[in-house]
Amino acid sequence: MLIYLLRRLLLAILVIVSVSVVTFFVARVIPSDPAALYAGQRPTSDQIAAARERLELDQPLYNQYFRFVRDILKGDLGTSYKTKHAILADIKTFLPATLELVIASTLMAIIIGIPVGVLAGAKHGGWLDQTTRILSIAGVSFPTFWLALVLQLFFFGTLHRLFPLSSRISNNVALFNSFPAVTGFYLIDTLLAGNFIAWRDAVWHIILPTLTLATYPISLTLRMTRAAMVETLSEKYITAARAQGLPERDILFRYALKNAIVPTLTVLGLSFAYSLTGAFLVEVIFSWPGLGKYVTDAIFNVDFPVIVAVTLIVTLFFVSINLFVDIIQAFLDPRVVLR
Amino acid sequence: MSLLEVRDLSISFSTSHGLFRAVNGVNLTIERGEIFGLVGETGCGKTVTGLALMGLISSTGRVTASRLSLDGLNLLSTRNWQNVRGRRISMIFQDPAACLNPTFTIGQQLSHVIRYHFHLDSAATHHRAVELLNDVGLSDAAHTLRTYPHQLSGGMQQRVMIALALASGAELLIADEPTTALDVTIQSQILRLLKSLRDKHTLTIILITHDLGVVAHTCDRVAVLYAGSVAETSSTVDLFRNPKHPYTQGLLGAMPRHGTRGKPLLAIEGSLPSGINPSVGCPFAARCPLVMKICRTDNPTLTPTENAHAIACHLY
Repeated sequence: MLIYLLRRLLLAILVIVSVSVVTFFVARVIPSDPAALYAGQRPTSDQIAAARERLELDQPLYNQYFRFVRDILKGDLGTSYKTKHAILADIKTFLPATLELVIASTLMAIIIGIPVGVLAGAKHGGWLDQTTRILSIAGVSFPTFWLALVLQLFFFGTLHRLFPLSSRISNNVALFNSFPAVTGFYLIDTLLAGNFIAWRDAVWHIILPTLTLATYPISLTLRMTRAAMVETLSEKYITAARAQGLPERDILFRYALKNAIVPTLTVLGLSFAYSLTGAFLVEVIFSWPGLGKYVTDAIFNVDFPVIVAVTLIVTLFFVSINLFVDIIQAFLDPRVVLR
Repeated sequence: MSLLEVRDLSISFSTSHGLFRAVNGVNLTIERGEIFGLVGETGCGKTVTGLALMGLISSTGRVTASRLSLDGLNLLSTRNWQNVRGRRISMIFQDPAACLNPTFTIGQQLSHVIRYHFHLDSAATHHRAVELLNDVGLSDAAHTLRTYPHQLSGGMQQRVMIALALASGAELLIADEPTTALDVTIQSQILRLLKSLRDKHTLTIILITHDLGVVAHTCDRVAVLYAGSVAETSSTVDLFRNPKHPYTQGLLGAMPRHGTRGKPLLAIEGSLPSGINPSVGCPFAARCPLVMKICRTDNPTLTPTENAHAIACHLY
């Protein structure tokens, strides 16, 4: 077990280092001049040269890379060329908004996708299986932006402003019922402050973007769980468990699910990490001040330090979540360690 | 009263090729405390018979019988199989490695069954689990409880399966080819274990097998199945001394024995008839060396002769 964990951890570190190398050098070799961008509008050639020196862009590439790694290890992700903000501070503001959205949609995928998948798999070919098959094919096929617009049209338009159209919280609530930012997650911060008016408002705001973002992972989780359940339920140990007189509920949700959930977890982990930047379209449509919107602005502005920093942060999440999933799988199925 | 009475048990499955008749009018009477052998070649309906007794036939299958009674309880009208499975009848299977859930320890699987059937607290459950493992000859119970199935040998896995089958307090154990996947020395250990469990715990065992050697060593009485019906049934001693049905004679002739080295073994020519379009007459007629005219038109019924021996053959 320990060897398994160490091997996974080493692999994870290797991935992070490689990604840092690749993003750093790619950002340096593409034909664009960050110094010119840094120097502001219509700079003179002297100003550009000064900016180049200041950003240490005149140094050899490997020197720049080591400096970059050293800064990261010190907790400094650099400064945005465009806004001159410290990137770490920016990420601290934008990341929680995205995380809140992604966690909410992943939870939704777990709470809906897994139990419904189990039931659909238990009676495959039944009405629940047929209905969810159609719904989940639709769920993975609808383009995100289209779904977001339709949800807005229906819940805001047709249902007369049942759910708000955009942002994380209403302006008047933010003004008159403000709460301290502790975690950056509004749903948690409002509860910590005991501010239920703001909490309810935050919940109301997060529902539509979560629903949009969750449609794909819910559908995927449901289908994966269903397929794995169909396969697991045909195993001999399920017949044996029935012969031992165990009740069907235990057989489905305990004996079969523990075996069937392993592939589903991999998919959930991947979709969580993917949503961190993939949430961008949702963030734009719902004016959600998250990481996706932040990095897209940086890409349009050729703001290298921001791009590289966000790429690294997302990689870190990707790798940690995969590591986390690997560990859970090893706990669920002891044979995983042997493979 | 006999523990189990089966009269005219028929099981058929609807397939895309038509109705498949797996079992055709099987009659069995199992007495309390005996080991009853159900012998036959692959596809003769041994396993489905066992599954039908537990209500485990899949939804495409249809089970009919004129009588299916376990100690007076009518299994035909049973709605709640949960009170029969495990509690009254348990079943173990051919491939113990595949029958144990790979993601739970032996202890978790055992205590789950014990707790569900007896509602014991955790200390009593643990105590009972240790006791069961000792009963099936696993002496280092404390260690075994913590292991996962893949960490055990095939023989130990089958012992654990037996413990699991006993954990629910069943009085009838259906052992479906329990030794087929094991090597010969382990086979005889498992068979000895089954015998000792019968003696110590007054267990009744239906032993499903294709191996007449296993039957000779273990069973008190035996029924030979052919193409979904009973060809011959008697005490084991009588069957081996005095086989009457040509099929049984063929099976015994095909068995390698001590002292027959160098002589060719007999073979039963032909193969099993199809279960989808069964021919009229005796199902063995096409392969029978002693076939008569009547065999091709009339299906013989199981007829008792002396010594509680019964044969389904027009010769008798």
